[in-house]
This record gives sequence, structure tokens and C-alpha cells, in this order.
Amino acid sequence: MKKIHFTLFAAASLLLATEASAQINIYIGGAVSLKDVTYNTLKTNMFGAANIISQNLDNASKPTSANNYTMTGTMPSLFGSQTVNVYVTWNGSGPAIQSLTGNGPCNFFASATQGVTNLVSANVNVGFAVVFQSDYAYPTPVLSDSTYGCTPTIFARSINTPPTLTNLTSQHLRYIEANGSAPLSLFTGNASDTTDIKWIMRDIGAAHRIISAKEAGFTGNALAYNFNFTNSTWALDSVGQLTWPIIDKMLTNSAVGPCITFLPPTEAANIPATNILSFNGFLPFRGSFNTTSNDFTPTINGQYTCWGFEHIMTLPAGSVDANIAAFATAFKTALSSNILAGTPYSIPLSRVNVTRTSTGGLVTPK
Amino acid sequence: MHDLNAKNFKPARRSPPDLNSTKSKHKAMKPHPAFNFKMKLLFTLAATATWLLPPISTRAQTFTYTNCDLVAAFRIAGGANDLVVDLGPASNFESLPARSVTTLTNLSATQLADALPTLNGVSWSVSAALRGNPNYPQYGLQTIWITSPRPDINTPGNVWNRASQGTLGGAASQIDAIGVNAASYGNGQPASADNTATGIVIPAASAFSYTYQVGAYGNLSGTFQGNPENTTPVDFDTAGLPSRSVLYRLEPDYSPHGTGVVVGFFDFKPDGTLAFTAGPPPERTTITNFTRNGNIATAWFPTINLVGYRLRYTDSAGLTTPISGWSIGGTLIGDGTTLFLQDTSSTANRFYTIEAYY
Repeated sequence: MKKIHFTLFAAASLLLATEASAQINIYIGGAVSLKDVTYNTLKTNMFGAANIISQNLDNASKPTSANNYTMTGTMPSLFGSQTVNVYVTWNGSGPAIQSLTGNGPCNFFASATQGVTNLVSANVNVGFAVVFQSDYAYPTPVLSDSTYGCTPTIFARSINTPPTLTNLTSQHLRYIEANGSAPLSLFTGNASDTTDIKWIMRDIGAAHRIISAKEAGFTGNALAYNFNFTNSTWALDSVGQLTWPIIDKMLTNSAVGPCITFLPPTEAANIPATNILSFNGFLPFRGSFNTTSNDFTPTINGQYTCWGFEHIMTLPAGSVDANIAAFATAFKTALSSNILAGTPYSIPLSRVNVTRTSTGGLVTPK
Repeated sequence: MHDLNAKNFKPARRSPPDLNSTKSKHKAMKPHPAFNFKMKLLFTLAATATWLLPPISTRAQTFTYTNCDLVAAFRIAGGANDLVVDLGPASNFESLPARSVTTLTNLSATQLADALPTLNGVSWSVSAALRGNPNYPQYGLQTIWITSPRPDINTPGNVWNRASQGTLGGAASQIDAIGVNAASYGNGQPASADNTATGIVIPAASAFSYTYQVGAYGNLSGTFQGNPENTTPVDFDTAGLPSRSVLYRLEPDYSPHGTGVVVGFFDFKPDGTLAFTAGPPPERTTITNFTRNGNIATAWFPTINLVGYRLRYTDSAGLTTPISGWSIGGTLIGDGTTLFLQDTSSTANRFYTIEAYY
């Protein structure tokens, strides 16, 4: 009996070893704001378009906007002829850090066959975030954290919000996050502006919620509203919405009353550019915000301060799988290069003239 | 609309609630850290090798918090750790009969000892905030419950005032964050003696700590009208007197703003226990009028609503003994007006005092 067990165990071990040498599985999770450049970098630089065998995207018509996708193929420069499966979910910085630290798996498309929506649950092993690990309640293990860019948080109003609301201050933000709504007069200075402006927000897994709160000095638990499209009423929302499309819909649907929120640049691209608000008197960009190329000079030079670093994280040295570490290092290098070449939503660190030591921390010249 | 009530308790209406009953916990169990490894095995070996897997263990309960629960928090300025304790729904405390005393067993002696090296110099507060929990429609959005420290047990502290909804919202968001952040921190840590369903020890330097929320000046990072923290004296553990704070309920109102409602008071005692007494604390009163007609002596004194008063007396020989040893005459419960107690005696010389008690 012991012999049989030993034989079975040996066979299973061999199977595992064979599997490990044959395929490399990479599970990527993180900040939605990084999804465009990461997709392009995966496709062009990591795999190389010709080496992608198949891919399964939840937004096949616009891959750079896909929130979930799985790609399979080879990465010859890194792993030779080994099959590499890359599972990606842009579910927010928080869930990525939570999963990386072993506090809960994330769901990914199980198959790289387009249209198959079966999910597989696994821990993230390469995380992307626009905040620090210490911004979330998962301090251990201390992750390997490398920054390669920065991205602004953008504030916006819904299409039904009076256009006289053009600017948010830190005080406004602290008030409306604490109360969930604020009278228009608070923003315009006109006592007759009694319209109630609702605050809508993502859940705490969205790092841009943390960036905006810490930038304003808001340390409480935020309160917001959620528009119920069934009965066309607002309801209190102390948690926040789980995905950006819900936020986008509230900003752009004509049935929804006046509301404002924060957005990552990738989502700000989905709303009318005229509905983007300045923060403390400044916009993060010059000119009109667009989906091809933006001039982030106000952010680069410290005039606009509501931004976060772009981080790539893995388990610490000694704990991280060698293949994952090699992939992450190469990925960061390629991302930096691509951002430097120009993307509409990210700023390469080498071009930023200011820095900070923590999310919401003091912005200082480099 | 998200379900805010997954862990809520209906306010007790017919009988006083048991403040120390085990909290209902409906939080989903988190996967064991080994889950990832197990999942990989499962996918690779599928049906042939599942026998290799050890049983997947469940995870013990970590700290949880529901909006509108009262949270007691303890820290020492400059100390390493804070202790956050969920005492259950604020509404349970509201429905207790006046002068009833409950020792709050959610405060664990083990956690207190693990968090704080001494009970001297401990700053503590108790607070709750209604931030959309629909189980409590009797209170307005942004209603807060918050303690006012008494300088000592016999000296009244600040009376907290009501305020506009927008003003209370700032403090309410900070109060809510004490519980929410403690639960978030607990979720990222394994369950342990210092991370249980009702109490958690958190490093004071963490952005998820009570210290972070209450701020350097103890006024909820500048969002509250005063400092809700009581700080035990340097000889607290030997002096034998409790550290007492009064719990106020502040509902939003319009200017001119009224004063808050006294719900009861907490006594943090030198033995490390925390007790709640419903109703206002007893205050020293004054005999404003005294008459004797025949054998009937009558003492008039102002009262506080719901506070107990009793007449004590002694003869001249007893004047050297403590008042607590004097004989007890009549008793009454105050109603906020000036009331009287009488004593019928043919003794020629008798000395009287009025004692407030609970």
C-alpha cells in the first residue's frame, strides 16, 4: 500500500514538474487606469503580436478598454518556446494588493478563446497600482514595489450638473465625501444655487478614491449616492460602485441628476471633455482632454497635485517565482519605454519634475 | 444600493437588549493563504491527484463592524498600539432602562493588556455614527453618539451641542472610519487573540488606527466641536476611581442648535473593565429649602431627570462618619424640577443630606 502511494505521489510530482516547464501562468490584476498601455505593451513588447496564439477579451472591439482578458502564446525573449498564459483583470489597485499578499484570489477569464466567459480563481502574482501598498490594510508581506510613471486623478461632473460648477477645492471634496452631497452654492458662491449635487464613487478598491481623498486631507469614511435607474431615485451608498461603467453611466445618462466624482484618465475619456473639473483651480492637462495625446504639463510641474505613482508589484525577492520576477522586470522596462514614447493617460517618471513620498503627500521639486 | 444591513441588529423594543450577546457575524470566510497553491494543484492534476490535497481550512472570524455600532477605542499618546472594540448597536444602549448598569464584556482583558502596557494615561472614547444604515429610521442621517469626558467623577464635562447635518457629517465620517478601518485592517490579518470579531489591536502608526482617525488633538481630526477622549490619571490603577465619560446623542438640527441628549455614561475602571449606566450621571445637588413642621422635616432640592436621590441623616454623634454610612430615608427619581424628600422623627437634633445615586 505504501508503495502504491509513493508511486502515485511520484507520478503526480512528475506531472506537476512537466506542467511547470511547459506553461507559465501569469495572473495580473490592478488599477483600471493602466489598462491601455499595459495591453499594448503585453501585445507588442512582451508577446510580440505574431506570438499570440489566442486572446479572449471582454471588449474585443477595443482591447485597450478591456477590463478582463486572457492571452496565450509565447514570449521568446523571456521564456523561449514555453507557452505563456497571461490572465488579466483590471479590478482595482486594492484587490490586486489584497490578492498579491495572499488575502484572497481574483477571478480571471479561464480561457484564451474569445467569448468564453468561464472564470478561474487565482492569486494575482503581478500587481499594478497607483497607490502604495501601505494605503491598503495588507502590510505583509512587504511587496517588491517599483514605480515607472504617474497618472492624474481627474474630477468630473455629470451631463446634468449645471455648467457653473467648474472647480473643486480640497475643502469641497472633504465636505462632499463626508456628507454624500453638497449644495451647488458651495461651489459657485451663489446663495440662490440650491441644487443638491450628489457625490458618486467607486468602492475602496479603486486607488483613485484613495488618491483624491488623501489629496484633500479627507481621512473619514466616505458617503456617496447611487442612482437607481429602475425608479429614478438616489439612494445612499456608503460602499461605492464596483466598476467604472456604472460611474460612467451616471455621468452620461440624461435621466441622472447632478453629480460629480473622481475618475482615472482612462474613464475620463468616456465623458464630454467639457465636463472635466479643475481641482484647486487647475486642470491636470493643457488644452482639451482627449484619447490620443494629452499635455500633462500642469501635473508634470507640480501645479496640479492630485496624482499617484504607477507601481508594478510582485511578491518580495525570495518569495517570488523566478519566471514571474523576470516577467515583471521586463514588463516594467517595456512599459516605461512605451509611456515615454507617448500614451494619452500616463506620464513617464523621467518627465515628471516633481515627486512625493506618499499618496497625497507633499509635492516637491525633484 | 448595497446591503448595509448584513450584520445589523434590530433595535430592541420590548425588553432591554443584552449588550454582551455575541454579535451576529455574516462575513464571508476568506480563503486560506494556501488557497493559491491548492488551486494550482487542482487545475493541474484535476481528477487524478485531488487526493493529494489537504483539507481546505476555513479562517476564524476577524474584527467586524456595522455602521451605527458603538465603538470603544483606547490608546496611549505615543504608544505602540490602539485597541478598538465593537460594543454593538448604539440603539441597544438607547433602550436600556435608566440606571441599569451593564459591564461590557466585549472589552477583553487580554486585548487591553496586549495593546496597552499600563492603564495609567490611557485615552479612550466611545462613539457611533449613523451613515445610511436603514435599520434605524428613528434617527436622522449623520446622527452621532459620542462621549464627553468628565474631568473627574464628580465634575461635569462639556455638554455637546447638536449641529447641522453637514457639520455633523464631518465627525460622523471620522467616527465611521474608526470601525470601518479597524475591520479593513483586521481583514488583512489572521484571526488571533488580538483580532477577534469584537476587538482588535492595531499599531498606532497605521493609517487604519484609531490614533490616525482621532487625530493629534483628539477632536476627530478637527471635525468635532471638542475632544471626546477621556484620559486616565497617572495614578489611575491605584486610586480606585473610575474614569467616567457621558454618552451624548447628537441629531442634526437647524440653528439655533440645541444640546445633545444624554444616553448614559461609561465608567472605565481601574480593573480594566468598562461599564455602561443608562441615563444621566448623578450630580451633586444642593438643598435649596429646608423646613420642619412638628416631627416632619422637608428638604427641597433641584433634580436631574431620571437620576436617583435619597435622603440620608444622622445624629450629632454620626457627623464624624462618612456620609455613605449615614442612615437612608426616603428616595425618589428626579424629573428635572425641584422636588423634596421628608423625614418623620421626634429626635430633637438630626442632620440631613441629599445624595444623588444610581
